[in-house]
Amino acid sequence: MKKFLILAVVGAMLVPSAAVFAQETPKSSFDVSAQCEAMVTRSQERLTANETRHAKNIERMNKSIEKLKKFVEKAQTLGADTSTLEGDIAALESALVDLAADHQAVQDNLTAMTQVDCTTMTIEEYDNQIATAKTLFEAVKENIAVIKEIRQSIKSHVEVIFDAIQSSLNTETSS
Amino acid sequence: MRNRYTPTLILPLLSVLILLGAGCAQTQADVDADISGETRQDRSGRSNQSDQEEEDENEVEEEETQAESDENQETEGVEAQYDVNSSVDASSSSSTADLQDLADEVDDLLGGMIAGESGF
Repeated sequence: MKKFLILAVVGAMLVPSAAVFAQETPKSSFDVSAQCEAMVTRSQERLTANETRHAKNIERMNKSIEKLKKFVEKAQTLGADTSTLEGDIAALESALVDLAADHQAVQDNLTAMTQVDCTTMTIEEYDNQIATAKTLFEAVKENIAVIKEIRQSIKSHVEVIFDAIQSSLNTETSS
Repeated sequence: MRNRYTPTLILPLLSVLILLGAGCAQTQADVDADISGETRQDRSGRSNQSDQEEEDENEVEEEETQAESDENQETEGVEAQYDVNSSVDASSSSSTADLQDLADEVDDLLGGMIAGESGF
């Protein structure tokens, strides 16, 4: 009997606490229209910022590919096997295409977000817009992460090529 | 009084003296001639020896000159080979330096890739 009473008291104390933790932003106080307007403004800002950042990223990738091709050309004249690095270049070119596509998807969605009618937008529609924007941007982040992995691969392959060239030069010098 | 043997003795003695003088003169002339011949021969020998020595010296000089020339050619060959090797080394070094620059630039470029944030 005592145990039952203790459990009842403890349970009674936990119920309000659980309610507090479970409580989200009160939907009644959520001004969808105002949040929508803010979203439109933010979408416009993100469109411009994304475009600037993407242009710089694309420029970096194009220059990287160009320089890597020069590297391969020069390394080959020194007798190095550059097949691994050529694979990295192909991966980088593929990542460039993916990045451009992912970026375009983000921008298209942002453009759509700037054109929504905030007077009729529901909370669900708003939540969906935000979720989609986040998901699409995750793809861009994932693409950049892939490019960073390719960068590491390039570094290790370049080291192997340098070692091979150095070894070849040492052999020539000693003979 | 005059010695009756005097004319008889004087004439043969004079003859003997004359003959002796002539003989000595001839001998002296022969000796002089011999000495002169030997001297000439000696001088000639010396001259020949001098010529031979000069030729020998010339040959030595020629050999030394040839050796020096060979040495110079060998040195020039080694220097030329060294220049070629240095040139190859410098070229290779330059090429690897270029490669290193390219690799560094690529690394910097890709390292500067920015994902950014969604903003939401």
